[in-house]
Amino acid sequence: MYTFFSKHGIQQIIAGALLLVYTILITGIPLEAYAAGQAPVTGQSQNLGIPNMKNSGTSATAPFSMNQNAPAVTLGTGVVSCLVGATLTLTSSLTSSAAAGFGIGTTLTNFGNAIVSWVQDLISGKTTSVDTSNERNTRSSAAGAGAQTGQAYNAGANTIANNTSMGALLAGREEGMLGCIARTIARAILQQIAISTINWINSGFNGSPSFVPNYQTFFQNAADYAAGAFIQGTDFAFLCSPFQLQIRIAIAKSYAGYSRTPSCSLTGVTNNVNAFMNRFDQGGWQAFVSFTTTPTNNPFGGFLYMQGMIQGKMADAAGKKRNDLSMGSGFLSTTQSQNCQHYTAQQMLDKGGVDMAGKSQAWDTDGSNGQTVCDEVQVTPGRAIGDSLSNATKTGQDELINAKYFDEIINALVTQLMTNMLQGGLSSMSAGSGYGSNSYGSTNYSQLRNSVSNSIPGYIQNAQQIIAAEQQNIAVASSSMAVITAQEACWMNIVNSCQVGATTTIRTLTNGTIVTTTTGYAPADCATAAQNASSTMQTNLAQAVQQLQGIIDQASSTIDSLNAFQAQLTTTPDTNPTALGQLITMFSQNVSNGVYPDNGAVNNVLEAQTVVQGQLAQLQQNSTSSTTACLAIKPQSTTSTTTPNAPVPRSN
Amino acid sequence: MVCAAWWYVSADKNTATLESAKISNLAAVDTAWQQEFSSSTAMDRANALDEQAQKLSDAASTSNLTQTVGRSLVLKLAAAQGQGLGSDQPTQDKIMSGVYAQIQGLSQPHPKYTASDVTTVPDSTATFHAFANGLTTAIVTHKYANNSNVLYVIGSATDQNTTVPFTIMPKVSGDYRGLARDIIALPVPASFAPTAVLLANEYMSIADACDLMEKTISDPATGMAGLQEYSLVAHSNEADLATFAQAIKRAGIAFAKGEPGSQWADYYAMYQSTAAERAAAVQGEIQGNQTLLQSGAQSQ
Repeated sequence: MYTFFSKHGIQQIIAGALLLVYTILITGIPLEAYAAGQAPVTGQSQNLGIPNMKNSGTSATAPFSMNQNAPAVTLGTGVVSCLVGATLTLTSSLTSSAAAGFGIGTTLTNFGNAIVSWVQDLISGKTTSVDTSNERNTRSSAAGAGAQTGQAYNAGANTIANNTSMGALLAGREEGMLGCIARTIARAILQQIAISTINWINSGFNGSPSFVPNYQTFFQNAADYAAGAFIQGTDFAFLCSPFQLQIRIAIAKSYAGYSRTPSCSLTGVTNNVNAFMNRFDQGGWQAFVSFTTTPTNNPFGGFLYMQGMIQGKMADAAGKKRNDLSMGSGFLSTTQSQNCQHYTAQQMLDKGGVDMAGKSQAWDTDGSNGQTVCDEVQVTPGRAIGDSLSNATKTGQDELINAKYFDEIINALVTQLMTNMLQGGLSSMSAGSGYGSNSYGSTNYSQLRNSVSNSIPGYIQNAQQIIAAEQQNIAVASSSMAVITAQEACWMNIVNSCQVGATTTIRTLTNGTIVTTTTGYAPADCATAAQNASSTMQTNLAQAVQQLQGIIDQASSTIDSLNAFQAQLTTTPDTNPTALGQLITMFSQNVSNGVYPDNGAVNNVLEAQTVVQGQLAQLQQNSTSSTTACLAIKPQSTTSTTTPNAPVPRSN
Repeated sequence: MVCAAWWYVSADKNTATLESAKISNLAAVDTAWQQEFSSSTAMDRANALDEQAQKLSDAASTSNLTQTVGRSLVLKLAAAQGQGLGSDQPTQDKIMSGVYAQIQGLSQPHPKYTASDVTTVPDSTATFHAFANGLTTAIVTHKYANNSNVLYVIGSATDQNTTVPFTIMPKVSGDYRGLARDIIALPVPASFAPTAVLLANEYMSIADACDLMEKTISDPATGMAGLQEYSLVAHSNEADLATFAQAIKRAGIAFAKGEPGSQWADYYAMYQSTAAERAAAVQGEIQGNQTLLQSGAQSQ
């Protein structure tokens, strides 16, 4: 009679909690159904297609009564305790046998403080007296000397009854202490199972070496069987019966090929169609028209339609488990804008700017330089699940609190899980508000638009940083270019001088002697000049500058593109999800392809800038030194004298 | 357009012809497909999926039962879903029974003492008297080993969501084990040997349950298993002690005032009293149900 836990009871605790997780992770309950604003209907789980967890046992099927005035048992708050709630029963029962001198005649009115000292005293072995001042204790005090003195319940008048008074503890079945404790623990189980399981999945199954490599196969197999179940199931009811088998087989064949070896199921179906087409007289025009006007009325249409459906089923079975919901990376992290505030340009000036740490900004598209600044909160579907679970659990607590009997507690657990959590929880996730508007259910273009729109200024800012960096590089390079040009000109001048003739001869007649002075670069200097006169550096630098200019041009083009995209995004309404989806897809692809400079690109440029400017500085230094050396080289003069022969007298 | 009009006019009349045409022509489909399809969905593959789920469950299990149960259910339900099952009651029962077994494995009492562990003495009034006194003394001496302490510890821990009260639990469980040892050490009249073994094992089980309950905050499923075991065993213990008290009474064993064994009469009275309260509670429940049924019938 007093079986505390029925088998079904404990099963249902666990089943309820796991079905919650299960439903979220596996079944893929169509969220759209909940998003329509349907209110959760307690106790109608079967009608709503929610798995029926009620067992056929006698204990768990009875509807539990709701008593809104029942005391709240809240885990961890200590507002109302299982002990206080149960003490009346306990005290009453024990004092009824006062002759035995029971020592548990205490009521922990100030439970929070009393329990601490009680525990401390128990540890130290000291006999403890807890507050005995209230009405309950008055009853207890009147019952016997032991209770009058508020004897410790753990020592002193320890008796057989004291040690074995389970009946006293459970005599008041409705709010017995055990029931209260069990209810509290049951709630903790639900919470921890749901949350720990979701955390486990979010963490990529904790990276368990023995688990991760195998789970993919496992879920793939699950998908295989989902396909098999679908093929064998009743989803074909809409098809015209003559085609049913053939399409079923075709899809089975196709799926088999999909997962194993290539096959040509469509060809197989086509053959069947050809059989009909080749015997036109069998159906005539009526068959032809029927055949061609209703998609599911012919094997082609039926096949393709069913293939689409089966792909969806497979996505449910495998994708939902593996990609979308399982691995932590599979959870699409999104940012959510909160506490958005719009500033006009003047307001921003007056305010002296806004600390943008952890915020996003979106410039007004009307050119007014106004902007909207929002707090950016990183959210994930896992968080969404957790929050939703938390909310749903909180909702369900009312039922737990008010269950009168333990069996009903179990029933309440299941009921609240099957209704409030599955419906309320999931519907809140797809409600388009809070975390619920993440990647579950139908695509929330509005949020995606905001996400994309908010990210654009960041990319523009990055591009601007890149432009600024490269412009600085070009400025430094230009300066270097002047030095290099001067250096190369100097050497080239020498080289040219060497090539032209190399000498300048001046002859003078002094005292009858011809003095010849020859001026020119020494051959060794000519060789040096020839070596240094290369224009390679200048050419290379010019090319580098050209490349830097190309980067600047590209960044400028990116900024123009982003601004144009922002404008396009702004003007595309939510009511045109196709266009919006295309825009967002294009943006995502560009981001993936690195078209838009991310922070990494900016960092790369800045790092490169440091290197480049260092090299250019070194280059300038070398060029200056080279120029100095060049300028130091002077033409050398050599002098030779020649004495002309004495004049020969004329012989006439 | 002409075709469509013709089809519209004659559609009803020629349906049978169309159906038969399709059937006759499409019946020639390669039956090897069917065989392949059948083999691809054979039962052995379904079983393999279940086995795989079990292996993964084992691999994913931790020392935390709550976590393990959650993971196990996810995997098993996934396997069931893969077979097109999971929302039906038999499948859920099957899965839940597997999970329940995990918890039951923890909460099942494991007897530690056997009849060979007790020292028996011949049955006599004197040995009955001595055993009753010895048993009482053993119970009363182990002051931490009482239900109120157990429930205050678990109750305060769950109320406050703190492990602080559990610092007492080792003393409680230790005292229960000490009590069991003391009972086994008593000279036991032959007729009460099974009772002594039973009581000692019950106290050992309660001690084990206390160990499990200590984990309630971090692992509530284990805590629940402990509470379950404790509840079941404590109830049995209460009844077994009452049976013993009744036996002592029927045997006409008299105790002097203040003698430890004198408490058995009080205990038996208390047990009967609480039994009466239980009966009253059940009676109230029945009446409540009747009222409910009557009001339901009237509203029909």
